[in-house]
Amino acid sequence: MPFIDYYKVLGVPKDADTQTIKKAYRKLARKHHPDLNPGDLEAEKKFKEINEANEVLSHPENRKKYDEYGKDWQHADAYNQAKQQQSQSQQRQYSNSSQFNEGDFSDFFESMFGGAYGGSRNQAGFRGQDYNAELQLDLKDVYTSHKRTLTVNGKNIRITIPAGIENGQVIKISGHGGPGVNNGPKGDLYITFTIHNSTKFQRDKANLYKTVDLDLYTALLGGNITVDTFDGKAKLTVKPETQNGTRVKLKGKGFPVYKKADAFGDLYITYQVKTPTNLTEKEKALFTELSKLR
Amino acid sequence: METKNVITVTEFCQHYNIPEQFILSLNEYELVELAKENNTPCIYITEIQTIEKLIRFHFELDINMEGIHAITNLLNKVERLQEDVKALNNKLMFYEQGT
Repeated sequence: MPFIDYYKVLGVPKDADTQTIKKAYRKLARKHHPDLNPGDLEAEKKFKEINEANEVLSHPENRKKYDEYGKDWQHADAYNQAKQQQSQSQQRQYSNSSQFNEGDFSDFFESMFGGAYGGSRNQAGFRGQDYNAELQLDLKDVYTSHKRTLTVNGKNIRITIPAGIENGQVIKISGHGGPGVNNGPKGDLYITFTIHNSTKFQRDKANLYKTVDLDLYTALLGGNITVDTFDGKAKLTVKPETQNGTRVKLKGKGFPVYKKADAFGDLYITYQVKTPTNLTEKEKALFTELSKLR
Repeated sequence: METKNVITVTEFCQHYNIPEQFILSLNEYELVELAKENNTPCIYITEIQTIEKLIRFHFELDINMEGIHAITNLLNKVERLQEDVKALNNKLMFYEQGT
Protein backbone atom coordinates (compact mmCIF):
# COMPACT_ATOMS: atom_id res chain seq x y z
CA MET A 1 0.00 0.00 0.00
CA PRO A 2 1.95 3.06 -1.18
CA PHE A 3 1.91 6.39 0.60
CA ILE A 4 -0.08 9.04 -1.25
CA ASP A 5 1.12 12.64 -1.10
CA TYR A 6 -2.21 14.45 -1.06
CA TYR A 7 -0.50 17.85 -1.20
CA LYS A 8 1.20 16.80 -4.41
CA VAL A 9 -2.10 15.48 -5.82
CA LEU A 10 -3.68 18.91 -5.33
CA GLY A 11 -0.48 20.75 -6.21
CA VAL A 12 -0.42 22.83 -3.02
CA PRO A 13 2.35 23.44 -0.46
CA LYS A 14 2.18 21.71 2.92
CA ASP A 15 1.34 24.98 4.66
CA ALA A 16 -1.50 25.84 2.26
CA ASP A 17 -4.55 27.37 3.93
CA THR A 18 -8.10 26.04 3.53
CA GLN A 19 -8.96 28.56 0.82
CA THR A 20 -5.93 27.59 -1.27
CA ILE A 21 -6.82 23.90 -0.94
CA LYS A 22 -10.42 24.58 -1.89
CA LYS A 23 -9.33 26.63 -4.89
CA ALA A 24 -6.86 23.96 -6.04
CA TYR A 25 -9.46 21.22 -5.63
CA ARG A 26 -12.09 23.11 -7.61
CA LYS A 27 -9.63 23.93 -10.36
CA LEU A 28 -8.62 20.28 -10.75
CA ALA A 29 -12.17 19.00 -10.27
CA ARG A 30 -13.38 21.23 -13.10
CA LYS A 31 -10.76 19.63 -15.30
CA HIS A 32 -11.26 15.99 -14.33
CA HIS A 33 -14.85 15.70 -13.04
CA PRO A 34 -16.57 12.65 -14.63
CA ASP A 35 -19.60 14.81 -15.51
CA LEU A 36 -17.31 16.91 -17.67
CA ASN A 37 -15.43 13.97 -19.16
CA PRO A 38 -18.06 11.43 -20.16
CA GLY A 39 -16.64 7.98 -20.84
CA ASP A 40 -13.08 9.01 -19.94
CA LEU A 41 -11.85 6.41 -17.46
CA GLU A 42 -8.51 8.20 -16.97
CA ALA A 43 -10.30 11.37 -15.91
CA GLU A 44 -12.50 9.34 -13.56
CA LYS A 45 -9.42 7.79 -11.94
CA LYS A 46 -7.72 11.16 -11.62
CA PHE A 47 -10.84 12.69 -10.13
CA LYS A 48 -11.03 9.98 -7.49
CA GLU A 49 -7.48 10.86 -6.44
CA ILE A 50 -8.30 14.57 -6.30
CA ASN A 51 -11.50 13.89 -4.37
CA GLU A 52 -9.66 11.73 -1.87
CA ALA A 53 -6.97 14.37 -1.37
CA ASN A 54 -9.66 16.97 -0.80
CA GLU A 55 -11.49 14.72 1.66
CA VAL A 56 -8.35 14.62 3.76
CA LEU A 57 -6.92 18.10 3.39
CA SER A 58 -10.13 20.09 3.57
CA HIS A 59 -11.12 18.67 6.97
CA PRO A 60 -8.92 19.94 9.81
CA GLU A 61 -9.13 16.70 11.82
CA ASN A 62 -8.22 14.51 8.86
CA ARG A 63 -5.49 16.85 7.77
CA LYS A 64 -3.95 16.92 11.24
CA LYS A 65 -3.94 13.13 11.36
CA TYR A 66 -2.51 12.90 7.87
CA ASP A 67 0.23 15.46 8.58
CA GLU A 68 1.23 13.61 11.72
CA TYR A 69 1.02 10.03 10.48
CA GLY A 70 0.77 10.33 6.71
CA LYS A 71 4.25 9.17 5.80
CA ASP A 72 4.14 6.53 8.51
CA TRP A 73 0.62 5.40 7.92
CA GLN A 74 1.07 2.02 9.60
CA HIS A 75 0.84 3.83 12.94
CA ALA A 76 -2.60 5.12 12.08
CA ASP A 77 -4.13 2.10 13.86
CA ALA A 78 -4.24 4.06 17.08
CA TYR A 79 -6.29 6.67 15.30
CA ASN A 80 -8.57 4.04 13.89
CA GLN A 81 -9.34 2.69 17.34
CA ALA A 82 -10.16 6.17 18.55
CA LYS A 83 -12.22 6.72 15.44
CA GLN A 84 -14.20 3.51 15.96
CA GLN A 85 -15.13 4.58 19.48
CA GLN A 86 -16.14 7.95 18.15
CA SER A 87 -18.19 6.56 15.31
CA GLN A 88 -20.40 4.53 17.64
CA SER A 89 -22.10 7.74 18.66
CA GLN A 90 -21.79 9.49 15.34
CA GLN A 91 -23.51 8.30 12.22
CA ARG A 92 -21.23 8.26 9.24
CA GLN A 93 -22.33 10.11 6.17
CA TYR A 94 -20.89 9.89 2.73
CA SER A 95 -19.68 12.85 0.84
CA ASN A 96 -22.02 14.29 -1.72
CA SER A 97 -19.30 16.28 -3.27
CA SER A 98 -18.50 13.90 -6.06
CA GLN A 99 -21.04 11.13 -6.10
CA PHE A 100 -18.41 8.68 -4.94
CA ASN A 101 -18.81 6.20 -2.16
CA GLU A 102 -16.56 4.35 0.22
CA GLY A 103 -15.35 1.92 -2.39
CA ASP A 104 -13.87 4.76 -4.41
CA PHE A 105 -11.09 5.56 -1.97
CA SER A 106 -7.60 4.12 -1.98
CA ASP A 107 -6.45 1.43 0.44
CA PHE A 108 -4.16 4.05 1.95
CA PHE A 109 -7.15 6.28 2.69
CA GLU A 110 -9.24 3.38 4.02
CA SER A 111 -6.45 2.33 6.39
CA MET A 112 -6.11 5.82 7.81
CA PHE A 113 -9.65 7.09 7.83
CA GLY A 114 -11.76 3.97 7.44
CA GLY A 115 -13.85 5.40 4.59
CA ALA A 116 -15.32 8.60 3.30
CA TYR A 117 -17.09 10.85 5.68
CA GLY A 118 -17.87 14.46 6.39
CA GLY A 119 -17.71 17.41 4.06
CA SER A 120 -21.14 17.14 2.58
CA ARG A 121 -22.66 20.29 1.17
CA ASN A 122 -26.12 19.31 2.30
CA GLN A 123 -28.18 16.35 3.35
CA ALA A 124 -29.99 15.78 0.06
CA GLY A 125 -30.53 12.27 -1.21
CA PHE A 126 -28.42 12.01 -4.34
CA ARG A 127 -28.35 9.14 -6.77
CA GLY A 128 -25.53 6.70 -6.31
CA GLN A 129 -22.56 6.54 -8.62
CA ASP A 130 -23.08 5.13 -12.10
CA TYR A 131 -20.88 2.14 -12.80
CA ASN A 132 -19.32 1.41 -16.16
CA ALA A 133 -18.41 -2.05 -17.37
CA GLU A 134 -17.23 -3.52 -20.64
CA LEU A 135 -18.40 -6.81 -22.06
CA GLN A 136 -16.49 -8.50 -24.86
CA LEU A 137 -18.47 -10.83 -27.08
CA ASP A 138 -18.11 -12.50 -30.42
CA LEU A 139 -20.42 -11.68 -33.31
CA LYS A 140 -21.85 -15.20 -33.01
CA ASP A 141 -22.89 -14.45 -29.41
CA VAL A 142 -25.14 -11.57 -30.41
CA TYR A 143 -26.97 -13.32 -33.22
CA THR A 144 -29.62 -14.44 -30.74
CA SER A 145 -30.90 -12.85 -27.53
CA HIS A 146 -29.53 -14.63 -24.53
CA LYS A 147 -29.11 -14.27 -20.81
CA ARG A 148 -25.74 -13.88 -19.17
CA THR A 149 -24.58 -13.49 -15.59
CA LEU A 150 -22.09 -10.71 -14.95
CA THR A 151 -20.16 -10.01 -11.79
CA VAL A 152 -20.02 -6.31 -11.07
CA ASN A 153 -18.37 -5.15 -7.83
CA GLY A 154 -18.77 -8.64 -6.37
CA LYS A 155 -22.47 -8.90 -7.18
CA ASN A 156 -23.92 -11.23 -9.78
CA ILE A 157 -26.32 -9.61 -12.19
CA ARG A 158 -28.26 -11.60 -14.74
CA ILE A 159 -28.93 -9.59 -17.86
CA THR A 160 -30.50 -10.24 -21.22
CA ILE A 161 -28.29 -9.37 -24.15
CA PRO A 162 -30.59 -8.48 -27.02
CA ALA A 163 -29.82 -9.92 -30.43
CA GLY A 164 -28.34 -7.46 -32.90
CA ILE A 165 -26.47 -5.32 -30.38
CA GLU A 166 -23.70 -3.32 -32.05
CA ASN A 167 -20.02 -2.92 -31.33
CA GLY A 168 -19.57 0.07 -29.01
CA GLN A 169 -23.23 0.14 -28.03
CA VAL A 170 -23.98 0.97 -24.42
CA ILE A 171 -26.93 -0.40 -22.49
CA LYS A 172 -28.13 0.88 -19.15
CA ILE A 173 -29.13 -1.46 -16.34
CA SER A 174 -31.12 0.76 -13.99
CA GLY A 175 -30.47 0.56 -10.28
CA HIS A 176 -27.35 -1.60 -10.47
CA GLY A 177 -24.87 1.21 -9.81
CA GLY A 178 -23.51 2.47 -6.52
CA PRO A 179 -25.72 2.96 -3.47
CA GLY A 180 -27.54 6.28 -3.15
CA VAL A 181 -26.42 8.99 -0.76
CA ASN A 182 -28.74 9.81 2.14
CA ASN A 183 -31.48 7.45 0.93
CA GLY A 184 -31.11 8.60 -2.66
CA PRO A 185 -31.75 6.04 -5.41
CA LYS A 186 -29.05 3.67 -6.61
CA GLY A 187 -26.99 4.63 -9.64
CA ASP A 188 -27.14 2.78 -12.93
CA LEU A 189 -24.84 0.30 -14.56
CA TYR A 190 -23.68 1.11 -18.09
CA ILE A 191 -22.35 -1.79 -20.11
CA THR A 192 -20.34 -1.09 -23.24
CA PHE A 193 -20.26 -3.97 -25.70
CA THR A 194 -17.12 -4.75 -27.63
CA ILE A 195 -17.93 -7.20 -30.37
CA HIS A 196 -15.18 -9.13 -32.08
CA ASN A 197 -15.80 -10.79 -35.38
CA SER A 198 -14.29 -14.22 -35.88
CA THR A 199 -16.68 -15.13 -38.68
CA LYS A 200 -16.27 -14.82 -42.44
CA PHE A 201 -19.09 -12.32 -42.58
CA GLN A 202 -18.69 -8.56 -42.54
CA ARG A 203 -21.39 -6.68 -40.68
CA ASP A 204 -22.82 -3.25 -41.30
CA LYS A 205 -25.64 -2.76 -38.78
CA ALA A 206 -28.14 -5.51 -39.67
CA ASN A 207 -26.72 -6.32 -43.09
CA LEU A 208 -24.11 -8.99 -43.62
CA TYR A 209 -21.62 -9.23 -46.47
CA LYS A 210 -19.68 -12.20 -47.72
CA THR A 211 -17.46 -13.02 -50.68
CA VAL A 212 -17.99 -16.40 -52.33
CA ASP A 213 -15.62 -18.03 -54.79
CA LEU A 214 -17.19 -19.03 -58.11
CA ASP A 215 -15.48 -21.31 -60.56
CA LEU A 216 -15.08 -20.08 -64.12
CA TYR A 217 -17.44 -22.61 -65.66
CA THR A 218 -20.34 -21.90 -63.30
CA ALA A 219 -19.77 -18.17 -63.86
CA LEU A 220 -19.85 -18.67 -67.64
CA LEU A 221 -22.54 -21.28 -67.98
CA GLY A 222 -24.61 -20.73 -64.84
CA GLY A 223 -25.57 -23.33 -62.27
CA ASN A 224 -26.55 -23.96 -58.67
CA ILE A 225 -24.33 -23.41 -55.67
CA THR A 226 -24.79 -23.71 -51.91
CA VAL A 227 -23.54 -20.88 -49.71
CA ASP A 228 -23.18 -20.58 -45.95
CA THR A 229 -25.50 -18.07 -44.32
CA PHE A 230 -24.97 -16.97 -40.72
CA ASP A 231 -27.20 -19.70 -39.33
CA GLY A 232 -27.30 -22.32 -42.06
CA LYS A 233 -27.03 -22.80 -45.77
CA ALA A 234 -28.81 -21.39 -48.81
CA LYS A 235 -29.08 -22.62 -52.39
CA LEU A 236 -28.39 -20.05 -55.09
CA THR A 237 -28.91 -20.12 -58.83
CA VAL A 238 -26.04 -18.46 -60.64
CA LYS A 239 -27.03 -16.82 -63.91
CA PRO A 240 -24.98 -17.64 -67.02
CA GLU A 241 -22.26 -15.11 -67.86
CA THR A 242 -21.99 -13.84 -64.31
CA GLN A 243 -19.25 -11.23 -64.03
CA ASN A 244 -16.57 -11.15 -61.35
CA GLY A 245 -17.69 -8.92 -58.44
CA THR A 246 -21.40 -9.43 -59.07
CA ARG A 247 -23.37 -8.92 -55.87
CA VAL A 248 -26.62 -10.71 -55.04
CA LYS A 249 -28.94 -10.05 -52.13
CA LEU A 250 -30.47 -12.74 -49.92
CA LYS A 251 -33.36 -10.95 -48.31
CA GLY A 252 -33.81 -11.51 -44.59
CA LYS A 253 -30.69 -13.64 -44.27
CA GLY A 254 -28.66 -10.96 -42.51
CA PHE A 255 -28.30 -10.09 -38.84
CA PRO A 256 -31.21 -9.56 -36.43
CA VAL A 257 -32.37 -5.95 -36.18
CA TYR A 258 -31.74 -4.67 -32.63
CA LYS A 259 -34.88 -4.83 -30.52
CA LYS A 260 -37.15 -5.60 -33.48
CA ALA A 261 -38.48 -9.10 -33.02
CA ASP A 262 -38.21 -11.32 -36.10
CA ALA A 263 -36.74 -8.53 -38.23
CA PHE A 264 -33.53 -9.34 -40.05
CA GLY A 265 -31.23 -7.47 -42.39
CA ASP A 266 -30.06 -8.86 -45.71
CA LEU A 267 -27.08 -10.95 -46.71
CA TYR A 268 -25.08 -9.70 -49.67
CA ILE A 269 -23.00 -12.23 -51.55
CA THR A 270 -20.23 -11.01 -53.83
CA TYR A 271 -18.99 -13.51 -56.40
CA GLN A 272 -15.28 -13.79 -56.89
CA VAL A 273 -14.68 -15.69 -60.09
CA LYS A 274 -11.68 -17.99 -59.83
CA THR A 275 -9.88 -18.75 -63.06
CA PRO A 276 -8.41 -22.25 -63.30
CA THR A 277 -4.69 -22.74 -62.67
CA ASN A 278 -2.22 -25.50 -63.55
CA LEU A 279 -3.82 -25.97 -66.97
CA THR A 280 -3.10 -29.17 -68.84
CA GLU A 281 -1.89 -29.05 -72.43
CA LYS A 282 -5.34 -30.08 -73.59
CA GLU A 283 -7.02 -27.31 -71.59
CA LYS A 284 -4.57 -24.74 -72.93
CA ALA A 285 -5.34 -25.89 -76.46
CA LEU A 286 -9.08 -25.65 -75.88
CA PHE A 287 -8.81 -22.15 -74.35
CA THR A 288 -6.67 -21.08 -77.32
CA GLU A 289 -9.31 -22.43 -79.63
CA LEU A 290 -12.00 -20.54 -77.67
CA SER A 291 -10.03 -17.31 -77.80
CA LYS A 292 -9.85 -17.56 -81.59
CA LEU A 293 -13.66 -17.60 -81.75
CA ARG A 294 -13.78 -14.09 -80.25
CA MET B 1 -56.38 8.40 -11.56
CA GLU B 2 -53.85 10.05 -13.84
CA THR B 3 -50.34 10.16 -12.44
CA LYS B 4 -48.24 13.16 -13.36
CA ASN B 5 -44.53 12.56 -13.26
CA VAL B 6 -43.60 15.95 -11.88
CA ILE B 7 -42.38 17.43 -8.62
CA THR B 8 -42.82 21.07 -7.64
CA VAL B 9 -39.72 23.24 -7.83
CA THR B 10 -40.24 24.19 -4.18
CA GLU B 11 -40.28 20.58 -2.98
CA PHE B 12 -37.30 19.71 -5.14
CA CYS B 13 -35.25 22.65 -3.88
CA GLN B 14 -36.10 21.89 -0.27
CA HIS B 15 -34.91 18.34 -0.74
CA TYR B 16 -31.65 19.36 -2.39
CA ASN B 17 -31.20 22.41 -0.19
CA ILE B 18 -30.74 24.78 -3.11
CA PRO B 19 -32.42 28.12 -3.93
CA GLU B 20 -35.45 27.96 -6.22
CA GLN B 21 -33.93 30.72 -8.32
CA PHE B 22 -31.27 28.26 -9.49
CA ILE B 23 -33.87 26.01 -11.12
CA LEU B 24 -35.71 28.99 -12.59
CA SER B 25 -32.42 30.24 -14.06
CA LEU B 26 -31.76 26.82 -15.61
CA ASN B 27 -35.16 27.14 -17.20
CA GLU B 28 -34.40 30.65 -18.47
CA TYR B 29 -31.24 29.36 -20.08
CA GLU B 30 -33.31 26.56 -21.63
CA LEU B 31 -31.22 23.95 -19.87
CA VAL B 32 -34.23 22.43 -18.12
CA GLU B 33 -37.83 22.31 -19.20
CA LEU B 34 -40.36 23.06 -16.48
CA ALA B 35 -44.00 22.07 -16.36
CA LYS B 36 -46.82 24.11 -14.81
CA GLU B 37 -49.32 22.49 -12.50
CA ASN B 38 -51.99 24.86 -11.16
CA ASN B 39 -49.67 27.72 -12.07
CA THR B 40 -46.88 26.22 -9.94
CA PRO B 41 -43.57 25.50 -11.66
CA CYS B 42 -42.74 21.80 -11.61
CA ILE B 43 -39.88 19.58 -12.67
CA TYR B 44 -40.36 16.51 -14.81
CA ILE B 45 -39.06 13.40 -13.04
CA THR B 46 -37.14 12.51 -16.19
CA GLU B 47 -35.12 15.75 -15.83
CA ILE B 48 -33.91 15.04 -12.29
CA GLN B 49 -30.75 13.24 -13.33
CA THR B 50 -29.75 16.14 -15.58
CA ILE B 51 -30.55 18.68 -12.87
CA GLU B 52 -28.45 16.77 -10.32
CA LYS B 53 -25.51 17.08 -12.70
CA LEU B 54 -26.12 20.80 -13.13
CA ILE B 55 -26.34 21.20 -9.33
CA ARG B 56 -22.91 19.63 -9.06
CA PHE B 57 -21.55 21.97 -11.72
CA HIS B 58 -22.80 25.02 -9.90
CA PHE B 59 -22.51 24.22 -6.21
CA GLU B 60 -19.51 21.94 -6.18
CA LEU B 61 -17.43 23.10 -9.11
CA ASP B 62 -18.35 26.76 -8.73
CA ILE B 63 -19.40 27.16 -12.37
CA ASN B 64 -21.74 30.04 -13.07
CA MET B 65 -24.87 29.86 -15.20
CA GLU B 66 -23.14 31.07 -18.37
CA GLY B 67 -20.47 28.41 -17.85
CA ILE B 68 -23.07 25.70 -17.30
CA HIS B 69 -24.81 26.77 -20.50
CA ALA B 70 -21.57 26.60 -22.50
CA ILE B 71 -20.53 23.27 -20.93
CA THR B 72 -23.91 21.68 -21.57
CA ASN B 73 -23.74 22.65 -25.24
CA LEU B 74 -20.20 21.33 -25.52
CA LEU B 75 -21.08 18.09 -23.73
CA ASN B 76 -23.95 17.58 -26.17
CA LYS B 77 -21.48 18.07 -29.00
CA VAL B 78 -19.03 15.63 -27.38
CA GLU B 79 -21.83 13.07 -27.11
CA ARG B 80 -22.72 13.47 -30.78
CA LEU B 81 -19.07 13.23 -31.79
CA GLN B 82 -18.60 10.11 -29.67
CA GLU B 83 -21.57 8.57 -31.49
CA ASP B 84 -19.99 9.53 -34.83
CA VAL B 85 -16.64 8.03 -33.80
CA LYS B 86 -18.39 4.83 -32.77
CA ALA B 87 -20.21 4.61 -36.11
CA LEU B 88 -17.01 5.39 -38.05
CA ASN B 89 -15.04 2.80 -36.08
CA ASN B 90 -17.65 0.20 -36.97
CA LYS B 91 -17.45 1.25 -40.62
CA LEU B 92 -13.64 1.04 -40.49
CA MET B 93 -13.85 -2.41 -38.93
CA PHE B 94 -16.17 -3.40 -41.78
CA TYR B 95 -13.62 -2.42 -44.42
CA GLU B 96 -10.69 -3.86 -42.46
CA GLN B 97 -12.44 -7.22 -42.31
CA GLY B 98 -12.97 -7.06 -46.05
CA THR B 99 -9.26 -6.83 -46.81
